[in-house]
Amino acid sequence: MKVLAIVFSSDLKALLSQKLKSDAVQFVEGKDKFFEEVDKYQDGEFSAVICEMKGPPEFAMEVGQVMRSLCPQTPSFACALDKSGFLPKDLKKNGFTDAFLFPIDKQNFDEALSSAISPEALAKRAYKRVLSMDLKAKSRLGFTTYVHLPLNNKYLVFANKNEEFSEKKATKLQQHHVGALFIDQKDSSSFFEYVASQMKAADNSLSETEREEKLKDSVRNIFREVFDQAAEGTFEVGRELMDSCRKMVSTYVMPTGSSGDFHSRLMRSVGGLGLDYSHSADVSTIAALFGMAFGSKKVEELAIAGFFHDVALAGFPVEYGYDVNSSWSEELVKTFKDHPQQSLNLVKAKKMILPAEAEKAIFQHHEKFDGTGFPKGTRGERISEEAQILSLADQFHYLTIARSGQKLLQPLEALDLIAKNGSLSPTILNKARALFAAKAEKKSA
Amino acid sequence: MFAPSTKILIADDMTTMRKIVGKACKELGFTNLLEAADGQIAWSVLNENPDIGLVISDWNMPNCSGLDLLKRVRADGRFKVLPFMLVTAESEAAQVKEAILAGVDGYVVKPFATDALKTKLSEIHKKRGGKAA
Repeated sequence: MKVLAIVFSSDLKALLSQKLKSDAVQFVEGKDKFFEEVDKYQDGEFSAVICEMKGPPEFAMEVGQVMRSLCPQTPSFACALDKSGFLPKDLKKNGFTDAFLFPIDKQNFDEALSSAISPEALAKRAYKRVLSMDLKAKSRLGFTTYVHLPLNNKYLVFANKNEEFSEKKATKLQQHHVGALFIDQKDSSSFFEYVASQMKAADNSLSETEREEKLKDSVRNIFREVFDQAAEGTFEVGRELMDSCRKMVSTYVMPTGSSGDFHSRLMRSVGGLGLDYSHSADVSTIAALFGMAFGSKKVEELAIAGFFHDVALAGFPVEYGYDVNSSWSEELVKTFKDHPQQSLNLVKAKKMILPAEAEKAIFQHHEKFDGTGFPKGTRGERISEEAQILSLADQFHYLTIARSGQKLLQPLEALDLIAKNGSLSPTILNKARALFAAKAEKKSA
Repeated sequence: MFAPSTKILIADDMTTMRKIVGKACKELGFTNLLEAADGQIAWSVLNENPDIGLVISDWNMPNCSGLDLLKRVRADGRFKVLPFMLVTAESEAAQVKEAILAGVDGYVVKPFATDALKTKLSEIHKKRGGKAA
């Protein structure tokens, strides 16, 4: 079955010609041609109807109404290349199945059209990127893996669920330098269970570098899902994301040894680079490590808070630094001061129900013990312990990573600087100092 | 249902919608169809054809809206019981209430399928005691 496309511009025609074979689309160019042919159209004759919006929306509304009346079972899509007059709600009210504004909705449009063209694709699948190195040859996977073909944006099955992941397949990945495969988003839980069991079976042979890479990659996946405007924010999705977070904490954040060498793991964050996904991954790890070292009962909550504490700052210029500076514009200050609440809003938009302690820690991680912080200016013990540990981890990471034009600080130097800004309680600071001072003494002895 | 010979007036400013309603009416067996591009023209057609047995009118039309046409129809003794159906783009309660108060027999919300039109026409016919033909 063909797609019927009512077009006014060569741009949309070209775009559809790229996507559909010439014998899979019937173009109707302009209003008059549509009016001439309209009463010949039958329901079931086309797999989908696409109408380009150009100028006043009345014509598109009319097409929507007409096609819904003539072909009630045929999906119809309104496409606009210009946002003026683009009223998606009105378009849907007037009969269109969906409305898309290009180029931002291109991916959604592609998905909708693919579903219409091949009804078996109606059950939309969201894919999650996983690292090939996580899959061990001769192991049994509890999830199907796919390879992504970027040129035609297709996912092909690479290894089926519950089949052995053969040596041959693992070699093939290596030979073709395929660093990542994809799994169905719904299989995230099985994937993390698989990774955890592999790590256990390998007797914790995962190196710290591998662990950090994997954590960073997982954080990137979670961020992509949080920022995915197209993905529906349902409680089911929120639960799945939270489940992934918990698995990430237990698989990558927590130390694998029974006691855990907090100091050596903390020291790994010193001198690191960048404030992107690795900042979230590192702060999550550092907060959890400090939490464990201080005897906190809320280590998982700290790690989860670490993932999301700065999610609203994605895209915030890194060179501006960690705290409000007098050279910042009013707008920049506002964006920065709003980020604890905005980070929570982003997470909540995906219906992720964070543990209460994690939520409070994110909201208060820029409050200062002396009351000069933001967003509320909360002071003293009214700032939760988790918020203070998160703040410590956040500042510690920022001060001990390589930043252009800045001296690389050692942990005790960083703690001295943090002590001067009045952000943390003496108790927390002393605990942190004790953690590093003891090691420093041991070393010098 | 209305008799196939019932003269139907279709009023809509959209040519395609007139075509579609006309096509749906033909599918239901009606052959005697008249068209008007707005409420003003529809009123003229009604006056020229007092034997019209059913009006299917769009709500939003230039010059004279479907509601205004309905009010004019009901105010004229000749058309007091003329079956009148409105086609609306939105089924807002306030709008529907106004139409009912003005004496509409039924309404259908755009976009609609032929079956929905058939059901509505059947309902209107029953409401009119099946004697409208």
